[in-house]
Amino acid sequence: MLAPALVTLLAVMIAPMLIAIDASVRNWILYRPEMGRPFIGLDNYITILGSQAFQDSLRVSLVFTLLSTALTLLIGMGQAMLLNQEIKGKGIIRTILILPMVVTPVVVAFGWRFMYNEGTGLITAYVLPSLGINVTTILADPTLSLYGIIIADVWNQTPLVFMILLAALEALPQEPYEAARVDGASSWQVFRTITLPLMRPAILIAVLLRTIDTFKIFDLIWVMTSGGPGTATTTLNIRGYETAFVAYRMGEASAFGIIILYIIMGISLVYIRILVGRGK
Amino acid sequence: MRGQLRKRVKSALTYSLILLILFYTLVPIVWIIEGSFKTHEQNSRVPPVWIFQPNFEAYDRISSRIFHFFSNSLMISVSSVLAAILVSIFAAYALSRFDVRRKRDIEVFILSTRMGPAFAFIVPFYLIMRDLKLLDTQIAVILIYTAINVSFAVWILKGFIDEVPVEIEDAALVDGCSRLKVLLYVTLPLVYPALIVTGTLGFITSWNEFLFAFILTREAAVTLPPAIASNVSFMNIDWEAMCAYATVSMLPVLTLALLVRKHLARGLTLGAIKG
Repeated sequence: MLAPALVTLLAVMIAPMLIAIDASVRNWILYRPEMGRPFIGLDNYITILGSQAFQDSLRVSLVFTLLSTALTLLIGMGQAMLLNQEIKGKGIIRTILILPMVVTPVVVAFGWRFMYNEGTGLITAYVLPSLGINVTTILADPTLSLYGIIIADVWNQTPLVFMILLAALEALPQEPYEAARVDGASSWQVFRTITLPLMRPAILIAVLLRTIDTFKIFDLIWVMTSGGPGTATTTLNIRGYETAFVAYRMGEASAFGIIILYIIMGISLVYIRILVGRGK
Repeated sequence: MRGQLRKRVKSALTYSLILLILFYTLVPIVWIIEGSFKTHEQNSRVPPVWIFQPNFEAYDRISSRIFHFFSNSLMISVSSVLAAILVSIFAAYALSRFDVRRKRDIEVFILSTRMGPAFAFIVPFYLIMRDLKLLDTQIAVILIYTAINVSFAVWILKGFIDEVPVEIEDAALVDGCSRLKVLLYVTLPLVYPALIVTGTLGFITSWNEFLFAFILTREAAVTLPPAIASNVSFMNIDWEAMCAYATVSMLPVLTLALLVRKHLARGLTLGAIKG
């Protein structure tokens, strides 16, 4: 009974991944079939890891992942705490807060470009000037473009964190809170010494899911800036896409994909260590 | 008296914060939908207009093309969801009920395919589809979306099946029902919310996916996301038409999300939340 599912995954994902590992040790350029696919050992990996372009895009990827994960965690936590109270219309509010997550990411990207649009955009032409901030262009500015995309991603992905943390908050035991009230603890003390430690597993799961999803992101960046201006928003995935489908260097692109796979495996292992380590 | 006042202030603060986050959440969605009903002049106005006489010119402009993209998106999403559920139900049932060898490893393997980066296998997948002459066909996209949906559908379905007491099935088995009949007539009817959750989530995932559709299709099988993406890369964006495309693209998933709102949280978090 397991066979159909496993065969699907093996045929569609794992077999191509094995081919990618093979391709990653070959010099293979798609538009030059006369060259063949000579074996070149780890040359592709050495070239990539040693290149400035790789280090730059790794840095962009890390900044993006760290900031976006941190912001979704903060906002998601805030939203979850806010809704973990007796509130009128709680069900409706919760449903609305989940909505950004189901909006097509390409539409999210377009929508924020629309709001950032120079001269007429809701944010650049109206909100920011009303707040006294004199910024007319965001995505075309190399120092701001990455943050512009991060804000769109945070809007899109906060619901995931919000849902996980709200469910965890609602499942917390009541006894420690009653004890703390009797002892006259302040709300900040209660949050720091009771809520946070009890929420630790849920927070770690949310952070793990967010870190990996953010690290893999492609659509939002591609539609908002395509990696520009210059290489200001070129993440590893954008660089990998260009290597494969603009330069058609299939060997190097495969090595790129495998490197991304290793980075994600590394991140997951660290988180799993933390999760399991504390559980003992 | 002071306690009363503090409570009032606190609740006023809570509600104003809630109003603020609702605003932040809804404005981008409303802004896109409104933009599709505005004229170019209304869309360029500063300060912005929120209430206006709607017009449908943008929809007229995109009507000749949008049907093609929409029907591709619909066909591909529905097919990949049905295929994924069919395949996943059996796997989920086996993992939930039987002593499968190396069960834990298989479960971790399935979940890891959900975590794995597309770029680790997208190049060979593209080349295989090219060799099979399947580029720019719905089949190629359906294949990859089915696999993506299987990678989380098994987990969600297994979580629900785990909650059905074995005793209910035992009674039917003692009466001489086959395993297949037990699954179809006893277990599945009990976990129908799981099918709704998995189906919805799979549909949303397929409907929203961009990267694979972008790489595997050119014209015949293009879905909405790559169609929208290629239109915003122009220097002079037709904002009204794009808003109309964006609205058509997000309305089906937003409607679906509202319809299954009760179960949505559990599905979106891969069963990390029970409820």
